[in-house]
Amino acid sequence: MPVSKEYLVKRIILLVFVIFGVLFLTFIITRLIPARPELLWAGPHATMEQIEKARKQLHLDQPLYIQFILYLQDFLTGNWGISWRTKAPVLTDVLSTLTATLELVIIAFLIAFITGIPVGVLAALKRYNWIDDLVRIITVIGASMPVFWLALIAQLVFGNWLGLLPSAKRADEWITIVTGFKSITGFYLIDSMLQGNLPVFIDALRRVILPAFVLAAYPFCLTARMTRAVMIEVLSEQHVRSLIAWGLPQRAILFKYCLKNTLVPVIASLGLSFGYTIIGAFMVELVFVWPGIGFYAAMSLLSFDYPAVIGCVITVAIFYCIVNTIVDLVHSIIDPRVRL
Amino acid sequence: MSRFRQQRIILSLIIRNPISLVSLLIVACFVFLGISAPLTVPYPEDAWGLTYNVEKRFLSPSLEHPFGTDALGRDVFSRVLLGSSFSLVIAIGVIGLALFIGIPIGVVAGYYGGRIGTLLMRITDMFLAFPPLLLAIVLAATLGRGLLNLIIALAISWWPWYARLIYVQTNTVKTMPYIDAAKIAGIPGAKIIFRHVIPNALTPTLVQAALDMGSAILEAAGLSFIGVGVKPPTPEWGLLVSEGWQSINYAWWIVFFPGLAIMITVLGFNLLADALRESADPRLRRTILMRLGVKQ
Amino acid sequence: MREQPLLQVENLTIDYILADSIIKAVRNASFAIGKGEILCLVGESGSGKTTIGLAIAGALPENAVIREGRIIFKEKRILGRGSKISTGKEDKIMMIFQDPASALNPLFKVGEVISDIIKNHLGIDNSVKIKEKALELFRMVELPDPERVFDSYPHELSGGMLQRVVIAIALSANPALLIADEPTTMLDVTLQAQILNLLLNLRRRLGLSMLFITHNLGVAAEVSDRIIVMYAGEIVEEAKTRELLNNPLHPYTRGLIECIPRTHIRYSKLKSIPGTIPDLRNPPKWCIFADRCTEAVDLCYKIKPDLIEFSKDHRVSCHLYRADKK
Repeated sequence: MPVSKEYLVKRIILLVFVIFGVLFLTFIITRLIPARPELLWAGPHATMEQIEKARKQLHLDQPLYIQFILYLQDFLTGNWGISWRTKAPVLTDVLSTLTATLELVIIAFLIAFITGIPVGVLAALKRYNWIDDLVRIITVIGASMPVFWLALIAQLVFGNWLGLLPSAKRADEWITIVTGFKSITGFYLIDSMLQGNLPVFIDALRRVILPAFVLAAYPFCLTARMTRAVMIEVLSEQHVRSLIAWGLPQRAILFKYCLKNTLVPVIASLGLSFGYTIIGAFMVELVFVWPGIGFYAAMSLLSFDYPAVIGCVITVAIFYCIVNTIVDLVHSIIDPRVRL
Repeated sequence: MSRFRQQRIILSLIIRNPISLVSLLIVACFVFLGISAPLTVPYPEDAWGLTYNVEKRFLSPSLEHPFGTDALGRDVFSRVLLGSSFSLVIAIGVIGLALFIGIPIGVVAGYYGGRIGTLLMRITDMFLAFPPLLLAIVLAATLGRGLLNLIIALAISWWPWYARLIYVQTNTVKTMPYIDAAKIAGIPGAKIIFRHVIPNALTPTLVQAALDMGSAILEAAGLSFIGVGVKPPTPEWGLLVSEGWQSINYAWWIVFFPGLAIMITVLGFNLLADALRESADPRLRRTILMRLGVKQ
Repeated sequence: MREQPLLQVENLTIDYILADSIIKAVRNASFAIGKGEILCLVGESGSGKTTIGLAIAGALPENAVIREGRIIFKEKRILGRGSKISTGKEDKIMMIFQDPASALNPLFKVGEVISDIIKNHLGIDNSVKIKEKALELFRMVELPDPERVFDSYPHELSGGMLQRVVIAIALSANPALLIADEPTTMLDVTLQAQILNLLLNLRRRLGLSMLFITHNLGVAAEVSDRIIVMYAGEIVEEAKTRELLNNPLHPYTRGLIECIPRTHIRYSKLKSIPGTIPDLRNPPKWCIFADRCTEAVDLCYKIKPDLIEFSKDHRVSCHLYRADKK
């Protein structure tokens, strides 16, 4: 069942508009809300000279609409300003952090979904049973925990008290230097595997476990709760009753028919879960000194590095819009009613 | 059946279920502590962060200091307790402000529709294109630290949800026969909106809003943790966790108790939301209405 | 010697367990369906007629409990949930439903659903043969353009077409008994007649027996050989269709007949039966209809009447006919 070309084109045009909206809103927030944007842009300890330079960079001497056009032009040409904390161009900084975050977020996301969906289904099938009660209690507690606190406690307990796992950074620098590890794709696990570098692979794997599980906690609870609720709803629907009456074996009814009905809304909500995960990464990366965009953004926030913050925000927002578009396309493939 | 009667039934339903009773108690406790804490904290000066007491640094939990003391020798219990006041203010402020912006936009867009409606909803969608909390982060970074700025930043990233919700509700109410009747009777649009549309479209939004207070507390704590929330020495829970971070290896209690306070409070709101959702389930509610001797 | 009936229901008693109470939906229902017969279960909503249908089809909801009773189909005892009933390749019980749009899963093409049912019941594994069989069934239920229907999702078909699809699915197992739960209630009037005619045709061609469930005595009169009137979970009267319409005994049946709108009598007021169904969590120990009955006497509030044989093939559960019998 391919996506219809019309729908694809429509969705991509919509994506362009949404990204334009994101840029427009960011422009308004960063240029119109502050009384003197150049002060924020130049950083807290800026000299008069630097402030004047920031004023030029932001084109604040131009009329507003030209400012916006130049802002769009700067964005498209990769002219995102200089981070005064790292003294490097923001775009370069942001791009160098992306793969670290992606590695963490993808692993967390996989953990959340591979465990969340079966747990939700199980709870729904065992309704009125202690299993369901247990799942409900665990997931509602998990959804109420501040992720940064969970990160700190996990780091304290598993890293320091029990000493089971290293709880900071992506890889031990010493091991990478000794084994001559070179990152090509930026995904340490993939790179080390391709190079047959077992020590780095094991080290990277051990280091990703804690942050990934902490980051997965919230989307896991969200997914399990939603899967449970949807499955219960589906099981009570008439079309399930009719399949039973028509004598289809229970296994086929549950795992072919009901599961698909359950997965469609769960998959449709993936975009929002992804949003929560990537924002959670801001805090989890900060705690675990994980050199991703979240760590970069959080460090920039803590040191009032405004251009870097804006660069991160725009990148994450655009990324989120793209993920949502992909989720919508997948949704349209599995649910015939959407394809209109 | 009158709406009042229905609300009373839902209320009695919540009280009968032990889990929802617990959630109600947590929320009630939170509100009570939030209001009373400024007057009742055992060490008010510690709580407000005005003191520095070298001899009492990093004391572990004891009878005198149930949650221990922090790096500046302040009583963590007092600070966590006063933190509930700040969380209450933040929650009410954020939700109130978000409703204040979201309701008019949603009602106008829903009731008038047409070009104005489309424009307003497109603006709303623009805000919703950001992942949750990200907009609040950039706003807070722009406005600078502070309690009021934090509330404004969160509310501005929050109102689109309510605008969307009330837009849908208004659209439903708009098609009701009594609105047509009012229009035919020549009642002016503004009057119809205030007399008929808002009261009928509002209830689900307000319920949702009340239950969102937990999320508001959670997100505010997150912002404070990454340094764009309230200013130190405000005893906001997220900031308390962040302050205890450096010394977590030898004084875990500074981090642990404020985080626990966040968790329990948010849990209260989430459980209450679950209970309400269950009671809104028509199949479940029917049985309960039958038990209470109400014919539908 | 009377021929053994196709289906026999004895003393069927079914409860629904709710969060806080038990609804006694069906109590002590006994009846039989002969080969090739169309039996109508008539009653208002909540009378337990759909519950009986689901029990026979083996598709009761999780919270339903069969307290008592037997269901004997083709001299074999069947009871309980799920597909345990269908063991043989033929002689099945299949069911069609009130709302065809919700009876089919919206995410699956109707061709896929019917293929699964065919594969399961007829044991055919070849997908080409399965499709052939499905198209044959679609033609049998007079669906236009069966190829297109096979590749359609439910939302792409109209209500009348969907009901035909559902009938085709039910026929795919070569059923001996078809349970039709209000199959025309959700359809437009013109479609109602078409679907009724289709069912009657199929009965003639395939020799199907049918349990036809409806709240509409008018529809029942058109299609059925025999009618059972149910009230609040109990059978109150049972007779051949013509006998029941010409000589209704139970006050409730008489009330129902008076409720049928008639075009040839002018200026007559539409009648209705005052009152509502009794509380099924705690049904009265005496006559179930006494509260709404205009002819109730003291006895009716003391003793529950038995279902007695008033005349040959005419049973009724009412104290009014007790004296006549003895």
